Amino acid sequence: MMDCSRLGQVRIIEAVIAAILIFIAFTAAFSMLFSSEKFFKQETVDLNRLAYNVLHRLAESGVIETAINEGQSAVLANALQSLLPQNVYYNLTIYERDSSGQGWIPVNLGGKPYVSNASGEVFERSSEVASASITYTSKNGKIYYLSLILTRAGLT
Amino acid sequence: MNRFRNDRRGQFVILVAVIIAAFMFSLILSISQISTRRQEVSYEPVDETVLAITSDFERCLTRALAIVSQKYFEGVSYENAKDKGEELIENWVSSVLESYGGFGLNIEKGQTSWFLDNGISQVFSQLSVSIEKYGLRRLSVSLGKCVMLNIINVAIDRDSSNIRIEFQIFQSGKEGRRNEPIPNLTENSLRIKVNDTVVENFTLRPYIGRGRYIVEFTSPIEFDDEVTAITIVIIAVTPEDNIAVSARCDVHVSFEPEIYHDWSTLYLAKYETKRVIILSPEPNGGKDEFGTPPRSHGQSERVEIRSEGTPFNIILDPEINITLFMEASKNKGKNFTILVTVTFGYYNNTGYYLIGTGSIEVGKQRGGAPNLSYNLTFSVPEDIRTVPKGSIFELVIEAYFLGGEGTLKIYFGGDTPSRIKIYSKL
Repeated sequence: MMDCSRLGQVRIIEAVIAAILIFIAFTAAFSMLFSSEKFFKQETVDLNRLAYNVLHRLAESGVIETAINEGQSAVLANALQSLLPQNVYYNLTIYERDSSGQGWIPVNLGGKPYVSNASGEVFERSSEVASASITYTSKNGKIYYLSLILTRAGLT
Repeated sequence: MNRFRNDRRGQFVILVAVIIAAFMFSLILSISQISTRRQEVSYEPVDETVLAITSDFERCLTRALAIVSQKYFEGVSYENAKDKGEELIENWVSSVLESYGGFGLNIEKGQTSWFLDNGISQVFSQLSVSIEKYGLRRLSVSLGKCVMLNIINVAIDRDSSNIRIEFQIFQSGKEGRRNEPIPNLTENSLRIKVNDTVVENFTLRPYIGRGRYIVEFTSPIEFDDEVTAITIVIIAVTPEDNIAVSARCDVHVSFEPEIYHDWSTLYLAKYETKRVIILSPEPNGGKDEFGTPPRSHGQSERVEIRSEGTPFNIILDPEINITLFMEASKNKGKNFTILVTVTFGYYNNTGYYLIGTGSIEVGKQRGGAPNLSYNLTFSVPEDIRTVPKGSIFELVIEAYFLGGEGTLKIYFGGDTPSRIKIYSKL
């Protein structure tokens, strides 16, 4: 009688050990599945798409032309702030096709050749930086090259 | 022996659990690897790059069409104007090749077609895009830009030399979408010529929707007897893209007194010997007459009174006044009224145009002359004020009997001239 009762307890202990083993295996697998590296990869893809979308929206809205004609970076900065999430740093540089058609010259916007809400170090230190570039033909027939760099705050 | 077997069974359960755990572990990792590889393939921004190139090519074509059309309508020869547009496109191609050089981009541009004809300014081109880095080969894209201008109607008043033109302007939608009306034309966007004489002063009426506008001006040329036709040219420049488009039309203005009746007031009148009431530009002689709308049992009385086709274009007054002499009689009820609904409009081969509808309550009148006149005023919608030649006016009168039965008499002619004043004589 005593033996049977002990045998039952041992069976329960064995089942618990087996369940714990499977649980550990699942936990280990899922922790590897959602590793930080993959988050970074996804982060880059998202930022990359975001950068292209933002450039497309800027080009379609005509903001670029207004900013260039008026030489004001504030117009572009406002547009970028409204299109991007608050925790994303950006750097937009605009180049103009030179009259000879041989090269590109940076466009001066408000005293600087770029529009940004962060210093260059932020992009250098960040582990994941996304960039996108497009060409833009303005209504006065000039051709521009726009390069947008994005990174998310806290990715160091 | 049994005890030994039972002990071994417990180890077997743990052994199976270990095997299941190892299997699940490897399976999850394998699935994870597969999904990661798929994500890595989708990292290549092919769609975004192609969209960026084609969108900018569309902008380039729009700008090129603006240059070509403006130069052409300024008087530059077609070939020279076209060369300016081609120059911009060539510059664009070399710029894009340079910008996306690192991607192994190759662009083959097909022939560009230009159409600068009556009522249309259009450019069309094909682009074949290859991006070696992403394995994209010869993606062919057809892109174009088009602006259309259509003169819908021209009304000329020879006496005052006033010309009123209704036109419609559209442009092709972005990225292959449907044509869209241009709603923001201003007077600065337009140039108008009559027989090659530029009209200096004209008034562009407020936008009336669906790309339609009305412009009014005094003719810069005098309509003497020798002038039998004029040529009107409108050149419009789109405010957004600066694309010029031109439309022209020839209008006959020969003076034929016999067909130019005074249509400023339409009278209800009897048509010759028939028992039909019509809308006539001439009063019904000196006789007082009345008509009764036919009535079917259990239904409202209804009569439709029509005019002949208008012999010329008519510009309606902003407000139209309808005066009807009516009487309710032969009642069976003691206190009853007739609710009369009046609907006025015109139709032609393009459809029916409602000018206005309204209701009047006509009470029963005991004895005496039927001298009660009822007035209605309709505000004419701006977009239907020009009534094209050949249109037929229609007045529909419906009577609803409230609280009894009777007859509605509509009087016309003599001292009770029911009438509609549609425009003021100058």
